[in-house]
Amino acid sequence: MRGNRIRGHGLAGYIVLSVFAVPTLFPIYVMLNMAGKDLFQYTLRPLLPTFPYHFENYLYAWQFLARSFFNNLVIIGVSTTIVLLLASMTAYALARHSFPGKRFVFYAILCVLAIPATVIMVPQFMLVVQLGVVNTLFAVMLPYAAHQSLVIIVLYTSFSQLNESMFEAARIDGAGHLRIFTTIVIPLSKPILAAMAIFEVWWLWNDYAWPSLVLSSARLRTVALQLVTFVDGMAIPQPGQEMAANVIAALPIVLLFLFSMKTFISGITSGAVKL
Amino acid sequence: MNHTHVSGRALLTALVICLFVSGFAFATGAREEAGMRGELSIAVWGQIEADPNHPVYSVHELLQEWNGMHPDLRLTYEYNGGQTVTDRFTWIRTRMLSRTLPDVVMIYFPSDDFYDRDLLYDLAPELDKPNPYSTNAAWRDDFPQEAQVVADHMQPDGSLYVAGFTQSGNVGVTSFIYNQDIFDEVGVSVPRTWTEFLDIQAKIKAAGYIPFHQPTAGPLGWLVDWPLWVLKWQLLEDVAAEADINPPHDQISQYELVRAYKRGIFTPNDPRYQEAWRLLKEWSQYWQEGFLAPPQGDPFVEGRAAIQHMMTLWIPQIAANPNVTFDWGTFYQPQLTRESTRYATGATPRRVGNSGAGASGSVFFMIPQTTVQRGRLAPSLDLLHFLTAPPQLEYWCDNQTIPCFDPGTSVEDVYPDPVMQRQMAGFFTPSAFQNGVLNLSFGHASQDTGTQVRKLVQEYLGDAITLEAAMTELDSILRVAYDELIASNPDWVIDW
Amino acid sequence: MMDKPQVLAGHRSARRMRDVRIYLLMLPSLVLISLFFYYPAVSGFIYSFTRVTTRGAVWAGLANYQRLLADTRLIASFGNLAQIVVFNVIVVATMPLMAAVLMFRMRNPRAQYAFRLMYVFPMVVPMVVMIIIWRWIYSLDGGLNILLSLVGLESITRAWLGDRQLVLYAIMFVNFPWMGGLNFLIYLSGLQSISEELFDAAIVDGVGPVSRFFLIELPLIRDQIRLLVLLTVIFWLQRFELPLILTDGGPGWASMVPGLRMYHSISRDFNIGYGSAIGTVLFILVFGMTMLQMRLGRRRAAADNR
Repeated sequence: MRGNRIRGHGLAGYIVLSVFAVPTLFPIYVMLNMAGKDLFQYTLRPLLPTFPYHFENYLYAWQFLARSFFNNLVIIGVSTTIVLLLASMTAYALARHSFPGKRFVFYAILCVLAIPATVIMVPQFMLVVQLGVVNTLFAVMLPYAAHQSLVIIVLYTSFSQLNESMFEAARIDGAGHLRIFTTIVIPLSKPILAAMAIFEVWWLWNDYAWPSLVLSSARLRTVALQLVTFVDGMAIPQPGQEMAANVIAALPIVLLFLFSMKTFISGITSGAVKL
Repeated sequence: MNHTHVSGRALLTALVICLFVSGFAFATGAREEAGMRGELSIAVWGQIEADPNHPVYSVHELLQEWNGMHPDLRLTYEYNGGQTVTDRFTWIRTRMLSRTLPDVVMIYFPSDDFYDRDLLYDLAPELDKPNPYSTNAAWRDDFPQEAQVVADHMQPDGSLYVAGFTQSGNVGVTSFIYNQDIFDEVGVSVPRTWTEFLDIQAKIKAAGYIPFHQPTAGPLGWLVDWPLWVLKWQLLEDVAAEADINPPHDQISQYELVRAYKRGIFTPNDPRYQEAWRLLKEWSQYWQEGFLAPPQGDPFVEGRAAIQHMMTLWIPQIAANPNVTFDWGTFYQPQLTRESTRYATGATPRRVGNSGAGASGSVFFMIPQTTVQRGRLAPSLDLLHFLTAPPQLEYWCDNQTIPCFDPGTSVEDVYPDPVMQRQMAGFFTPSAFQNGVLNLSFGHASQDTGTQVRKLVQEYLGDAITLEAAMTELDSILRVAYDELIASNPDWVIDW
Repeated sequence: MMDKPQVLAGHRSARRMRDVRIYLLMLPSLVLISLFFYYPAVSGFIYSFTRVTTRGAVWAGLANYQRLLADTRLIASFGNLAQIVVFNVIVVATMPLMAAVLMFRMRNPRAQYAFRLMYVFPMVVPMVVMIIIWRWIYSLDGGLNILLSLVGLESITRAWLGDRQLVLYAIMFVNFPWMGGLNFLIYLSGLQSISEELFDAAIVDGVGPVSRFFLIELPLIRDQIRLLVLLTVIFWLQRFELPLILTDGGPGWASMVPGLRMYHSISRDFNIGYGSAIGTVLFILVFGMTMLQMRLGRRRAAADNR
């Protein structure tokens, strides 16, 4: 209720934000509107709504995208699981223990954030060639699984704030790392782990450049790759079906977002602010 | 925190050990059994089994037939994806570099980029041996038209790295397609010369249609190369003859290209070469508005553009498209005459493509040396023998957009129906018996150079640069690129 | 940052055993990070001195760097990059901040939630999809030209991505009004962490809405602004998806940026040596920006402590 204290300013805010909301949401309107058009409707009226809305466009696009959804599921599922598991192990070691070389390890992880992804794309690609996994899902999953520096740093700050007395009690009970990890760290850090999972999924779902470099087989394409192929590769123009494909591609993230807005926002902001 | 340097060393050691372990895990792949069993992988050019109406589907059928004859063997496809030929070449290169090419590699456009004795299996010694799937005395005799395709791809040192199907040398794979309804409405007919071609487009433009839909950017941006080649070939007949010193003829190798440049036979300073660029730009006034932007939609199919590029490969898509309600026909890029340019030689326009041209023109196969090392040569060679044996060649021919026929056959002989004659005319006249001179292009030095040349064409077409400045820049690009080529080919005979 | 939990005193060897177990906990992460980040960072630098062919890498000395220095088109692309970066820095320091401040001051929490939803929503649309929509908006028969025709500006309609004078501005204009998404969220969370007492004191002092912004809000979210400016600079130094999908750097070279040229060299032209050389230059730029940022941050932290 902070706004109440300064009067006479609410209206201007509403007006400005409402006005700018129109262009902000315009691409989403374009997407949903065009996705329901057949070629005739598109040629006649590309911008204004037309009836009937052709839901069958979605079915057509889905047939083209189905396989790539499965690929994304595998890639993102596997790599996010690995990232969360390994990153939380490392963050636990860093946050709750002191050992020789701790500072070195910490800064080695931190410095990765300064290495730009695009710049190491060439040698990363050559490495994948040397490992002989070019054009397999491993070529995507392995570097994605290594993409954990940011998660480690965020989890480190979070784990550091946990109360030491619990750890002490557990240690007196004779608990090992595994038990402390599964009975104390994980249960107490569920929200931040969930946020980090969402952050990783969001980041991986959007990635286009890396998979386009290492996945050249049609059967391995990710959703982002398949989408560009769908839009560019058609002999007969199908703007409706193409946009329907876009809507379908955006849907998982939209759903994830709608059902977990709070976690999503905290996940993304915590991920970025700590950068 | 005091023992940082010690633990750092320990960490490093652990990392090195881990690296080695993972390296071994990847390196020790199970060796496959030799002979006609186990698995045989083939890199196919896109999803060849996706569309039964596509001409390339017959290759899929033949591959399956062969697999059926060898039930102990499992044939698997690896898709060479990518949107453009360049993407697919990159795919082959990267797999070649990582020594992970499949056992057999299918390719539409054979390229001397890949030809290397250490990387590909030399098929030439096999040519004199018999093909078990044929009654001919030697494999060589199975190739039609006195093994024209073998001659076309035989390297100067007598090696041969590709074998496959080719269409009769008499049919083209590219043409222009036109909207007959627009032609009738405007009152123009198929042009016979370049001047007439520009004239009818002026009338079409005045009537409010797009005269010619020419993509110069986006996934089909490479289509701008074709008309430029055809213009160039008409103007540079002498240059081509002088540059083309080694077999295979009507193909300029990288060596010949560099030699011609260094000797001043073929340089950007040649006024005839510059004239080809100028003519292209003069024509561009009849292209769609904003032709430098990636095209959105298909104005020809929508009935807004009168003419555009066509390939035999795309004909089935046009024929099956419900939006194409108008009559259409094809004609080839018209001849340059003295009316259009003082450099005109009166030469008949040559065809885009050669016996190695892709799509409905031909399909080729290569066997990498890694296949030999894996002990998979026998089944791979058997597959090539089967595919190129006369019955299979015939089956493939019958499934092309335009069936194979003897050289000299006219469109009337092949298609009695006058509508079909109009639709296919552009692929028959002028005869494709004389195809274009493959790779008479400065960009053939590397894909890098090719990209830079195409960018430069765009700059020139978009008025960002004058012709003189473009040629100066082109020359400096070539100087670097060709010196790099010379440096990476120490075996070249330097005779300049 | 480096807080030290209590270390239990123990026997020397027992302690070493415990240390080994801790290293083992971190080992998988460290192996993956070294293999996929540090090893490529070093080998990328080495590749920039080689020429890579299908047969392998050959030492080429400084040839790639010599070519880089003589490549006028590449140097011009750095000019394009500078324009894009400067524009986006100005944008990120104003537009999303304005949205965040206006939303922060909203009195109705429901309205605030609704607006927040609206301004975050575009973020969840994958970037590739967003770019494809903008490509349609800019096309000859696309959204922008339709809108212009509606308001009687038919004379200025064109294929926006085919106009070499305007294509760079078209790329900058993507995502107009640049208010939503992550930047906005970071500002908003920064504003929400400002202590209420400050605002209460401001009320007592009779501070108006404009002064309130300059006296309280702006100074206290300086960190967020600095962070976002840095992120924006680094983002645009590295990223090339936008020109890649919209224009492929065209027409001609008009919208080329160094990152895209590097991408072309590697993935399309198979000139890995040259691509690595461009990559090394970009790495030095990004690293320099990050160091500068860290130094400024440390100086400010020191000033605050005093």
